[in-house]
Amino acid sequence: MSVVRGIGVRAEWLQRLAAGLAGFAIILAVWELIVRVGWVDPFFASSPTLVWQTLVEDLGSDRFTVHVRSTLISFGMGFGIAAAAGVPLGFLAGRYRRLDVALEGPVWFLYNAPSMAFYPLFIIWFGFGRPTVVALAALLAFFPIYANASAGVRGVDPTLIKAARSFGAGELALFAKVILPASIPMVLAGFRLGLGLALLGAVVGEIFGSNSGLGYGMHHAASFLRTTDYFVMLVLTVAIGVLANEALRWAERRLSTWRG
Amino acid sequence: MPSPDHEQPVPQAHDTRAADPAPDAEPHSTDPPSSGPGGARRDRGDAELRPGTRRWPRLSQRGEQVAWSVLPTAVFLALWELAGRGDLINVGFTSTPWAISRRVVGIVTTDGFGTHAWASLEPLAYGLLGAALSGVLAGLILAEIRWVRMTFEPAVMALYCTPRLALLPVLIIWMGIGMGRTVVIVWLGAVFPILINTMAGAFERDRSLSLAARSFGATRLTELRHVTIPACLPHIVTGFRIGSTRGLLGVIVSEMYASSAGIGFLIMRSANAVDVEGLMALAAITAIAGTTMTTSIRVGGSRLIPWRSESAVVV
Repeated sequence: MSVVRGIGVRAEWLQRLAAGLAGFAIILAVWELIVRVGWVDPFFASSPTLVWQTLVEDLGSDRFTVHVRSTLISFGMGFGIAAAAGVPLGFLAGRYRRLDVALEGPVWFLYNAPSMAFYPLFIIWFGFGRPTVVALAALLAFFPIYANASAGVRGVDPTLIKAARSFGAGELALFAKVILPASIPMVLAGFRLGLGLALLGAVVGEIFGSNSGLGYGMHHAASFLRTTDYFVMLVLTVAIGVLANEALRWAERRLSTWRG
Repeated sequence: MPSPDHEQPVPQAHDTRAADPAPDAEPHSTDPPSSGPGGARRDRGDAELRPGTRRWPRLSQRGEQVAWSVLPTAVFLALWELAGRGDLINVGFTSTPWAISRRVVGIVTTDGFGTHAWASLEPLAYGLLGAALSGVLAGLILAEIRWVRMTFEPAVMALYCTPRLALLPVLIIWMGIGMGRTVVIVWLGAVFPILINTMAGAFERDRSLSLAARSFGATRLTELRHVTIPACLPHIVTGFRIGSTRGLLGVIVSEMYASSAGIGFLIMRSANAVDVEGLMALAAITAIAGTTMTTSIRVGGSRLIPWRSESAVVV
């Protein structure tokens, strides 16, 4: 039975993979065709083959890897700060009603603000370059992480809490043994959203206020009408986003299986 | 803000806290990427929707709740103001709440402000309208036609988890610095949350309703109109709310990058003058605009679809 199902799952997985790759292939083919036929000048639109050639030729050199490294550092730092602030605060807000009520208004207000409006202030407060980029990434990533952590705590089955309480668990034991494990899936869902937003913050921050990183690189390449370089870096940005997302999904699967 | 039944400890699904700040809703709603049919996420969703999981320690009085929601912020603002007046903090870097609010009034009542506000709102409106129409349409197509979904879902997801604002530099090359580019940026930001939520709504709808409709002889189109779309509406509203936040971010970023009018332009002008007070005031104006927009979408959404509150279904 399980063997049969295993084969079925694998076949479906393969089918999905093939179809998904076909989807990307179609998009790339259309792009290539538009340029080849001459509807669009490759000077403006580059083309998949040009991007591929440049990517393969220059990936070994420093030209792009410098930017990738810089973006990864800012992105990681921004996400780290957002997680370090968002998870504990979200846990506390989820557990203590008063804190939740107190934070509700300001958080909702700031969440709805377009975070980029704070960018010039960040430049003034933190300085040009990495600090501002990290601050922007952290600000954007904070909200989903905070909101998911608090929703995760609020969603913990009260009977579990009651059971732990009646076996004499204190607040600390309750957190460590019941609330934390039960809210992990939600926290991870928040992390996944936070990753996307941290990358957004990092790249947009680099476009505006940095002299390294993929955002800066794209801005720079586009300013000099080097569209191929621009698209190479866009592809690298997409790759970072997809990889981070997949890594988190994998972690979610790993850490959620025991929940049954 | 909180609904009257906010404090009742009656076991209910998520809607006991329908007045939540919506970041709450976003996690679930933007989640469904992976919740394709039979996706690993489905079972988790059930667990979260189990009634009675949201019991709150009761606040003794409604007054106390209001106090807790207002006082901490008020105290913070008061301390900020006092610290500024007492020269404990450098006002040149932080300004003070009173000065900022006076400046907000000053900016809003300036003659040219209407022009700038309209310069930002117009592309936002066009972009969001386009995103709503195309996002819902594409979401339904992806949900209903299997081969289209299998082919294009990975590409959609790849775009969804990358910063679309990174397209700004190349859009300038292609479209110049006019309004068209800002419309495209808004559309790019808003369309994916709408699409993905619509798709999730179509997946999570009650299949027995579709079966019932079919067995009474409904055509595919009738089913779509009377079963699928109403079932998706709460998700669409959620997607639209998230999308509109992204759209607003897009407008501001696009205008800050290159433009000669709009709120983003005003921000850059204040930035070049290192006018902290003005920057704070403009940030507050955008936050007020964003909060007004998303709150009215929430309220309007729950009026539009009274049978299900928005946050009751987002998983």
